[in-house]
Amino acid sequence: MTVPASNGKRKSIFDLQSIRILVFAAWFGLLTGLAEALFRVIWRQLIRHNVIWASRDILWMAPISDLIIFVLAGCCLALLALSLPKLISLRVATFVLALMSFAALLMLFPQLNIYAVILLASGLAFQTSRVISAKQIRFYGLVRRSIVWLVAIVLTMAIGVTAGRQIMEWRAVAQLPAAPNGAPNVILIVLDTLPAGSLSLYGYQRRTSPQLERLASRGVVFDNAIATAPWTLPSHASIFTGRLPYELSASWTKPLDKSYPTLAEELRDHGYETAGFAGNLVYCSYEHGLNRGMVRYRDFPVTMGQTFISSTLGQVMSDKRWFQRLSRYHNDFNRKNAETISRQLLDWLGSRKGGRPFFGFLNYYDTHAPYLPPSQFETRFGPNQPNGAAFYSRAGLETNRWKLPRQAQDVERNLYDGSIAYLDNQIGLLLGEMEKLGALNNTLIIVTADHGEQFGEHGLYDHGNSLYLPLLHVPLLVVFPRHVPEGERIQQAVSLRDLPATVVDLIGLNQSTQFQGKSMARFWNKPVNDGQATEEVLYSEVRPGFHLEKWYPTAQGRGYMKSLIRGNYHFILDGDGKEELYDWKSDPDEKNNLAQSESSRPVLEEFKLTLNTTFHSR
Amino acid sequence: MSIHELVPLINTSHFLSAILLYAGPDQILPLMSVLGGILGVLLVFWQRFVRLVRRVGQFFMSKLRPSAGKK
Repeated sequence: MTVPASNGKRKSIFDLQSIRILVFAAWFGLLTGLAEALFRVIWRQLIRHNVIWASRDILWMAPISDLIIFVLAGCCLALLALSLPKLISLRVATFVLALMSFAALLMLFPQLNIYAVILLASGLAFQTSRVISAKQIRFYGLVRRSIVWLVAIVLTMAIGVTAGRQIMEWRAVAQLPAAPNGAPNVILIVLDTLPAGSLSLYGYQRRTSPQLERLASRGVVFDNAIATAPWTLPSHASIFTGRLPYELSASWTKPLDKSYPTLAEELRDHGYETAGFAGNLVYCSYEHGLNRGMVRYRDFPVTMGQTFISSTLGQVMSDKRWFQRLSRYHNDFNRKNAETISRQLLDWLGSRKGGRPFFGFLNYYDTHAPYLPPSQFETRFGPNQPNGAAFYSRAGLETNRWKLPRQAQDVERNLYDGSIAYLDNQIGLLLGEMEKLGALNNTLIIVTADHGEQFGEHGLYDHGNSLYLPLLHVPLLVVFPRHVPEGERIQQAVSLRDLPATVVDLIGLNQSTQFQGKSMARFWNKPVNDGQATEEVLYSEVRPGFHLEKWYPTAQGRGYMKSLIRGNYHFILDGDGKEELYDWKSDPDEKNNLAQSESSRPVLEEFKLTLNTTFHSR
Repeated sequence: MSIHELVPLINTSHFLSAILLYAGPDQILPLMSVLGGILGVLLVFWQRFVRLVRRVGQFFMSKLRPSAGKK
């Protein structure tokens, strides 16, 4: 294609300065994205074994994200070059594009703060643009020749990653052994960040969980289920392995390793088709080892939002308030709502062939901050706010919540409860759909939460920072018609670490599979008197997190916290030696610390002895 | 043992080791940023910087040459 030139002759369209700028932009974008992706996957993930908080799709998503961002910048530069040719020369445009490119790459190094990144990127871009403008013709030729190859590499990676995932899944299904005849299906639903006390099923004054109430009438409700940790990864790791957090590798910086088998691995080895669908992409992804034993595991979505935040520049932009306002999107760009997760499960159930029993694990993330329920649930428990829900939810995430005015905290609470109601509604819809598919016949359903959430109790917010009951007391429902009694409530305190032992017991695999912990079927298979039950000690813990807010107790020298629950008492020991003791049955808000009381001394000493003799930390 | 009793026991290598013990992430991160920033500024003014270094070098060389000639 040619266009008229100023000397009367015709020249190729690729000789136009604005077109050159666009071609440069695309080239810089693809190259930057590829460099970022390869650095993160090969160096950080495969060689250094670091968590990169991204799927392997980053290999093609990051180049596409950078391509979009750079071409948009290139369009602006090209328009400026057309209107102000003296101001925006090819050298200036090259400098801007190289600056963006070097900044994106340097931001991969957390050792450099943003000002250092800008200065260093400016220096490198200045020198790059100087060299390029000196050899403009040769460089442009190189760009035109190599851009085709860059596109081919990105396409190959997209096809390779997608096909590789599918092939691995087919192979895993083909390798499954025969399943026992009539083996029941298992559905494990984990409601991320949901304390029992926020559900109407557990007496909360707002009607947040009508669907769970209906489900509960078909099975057993545990009134006092206790999580082993107040945050996602160790709690899930215990639910999957039956082990306590200190026995496991899973921590703020390390995934769950292969020391102990997971429930999914055991079920897979008994012929179950296993699948997990996770909404929590921060600590519940394949990178944290929770996909072990899953034939299919869907965490990071393949969406435009995920693609956009796969590059450093996309990630930085998506976090900015101005960008959220501009795009009118205030949630996490790769957020998967309950509807998406349920749809993934239903699609999987619909696509299965061969009639094998299945194990489906669902991690719903809708009740995790920022609390942004769909519009019909936004005002379910409070009036609409002039600033909009996003303002309050984002403010809660970005500030220490106790600094927010009372009214803003109330709005957050309303939004949180709205999120619960939305999630509850989705669970009702999911179970309805599964009923239609016939997937609930002979199916054990377990619904629980990995941990709770604090809204000012003990002056604390969020989770992962204390061991008080709002974080440890979680819902637990076990529904299995004809195997589990209907409409029963169990008062005795139980630990979520007992779940794998319970599952294998209820589906009849307890002869061939052993998990630590006790089957909860003991509560209905034979009478249990209160005296026996109170002898059980339930352990929970939290270690200081490297990236937690400085005002968190765990980050303020109170360190590694451990908690024991036995009978009516809840004992908490902090890393700095501070002791707390509560009679949680008569004081459920844990306001009256009995640790200093002389009459509680024997109980306290017994707890300390149990902690030292029974629960040894690594 | 008080600090006054301890000080005479610390020789130079101990002292340097003690200083290095303080070089944790809190110290390394700002240091990297400062070095990165300085390098960035140098790169922006690289040609002038090289010219300046050359001139300073020539200045000292010219000072040295006459004295060498006197010998």
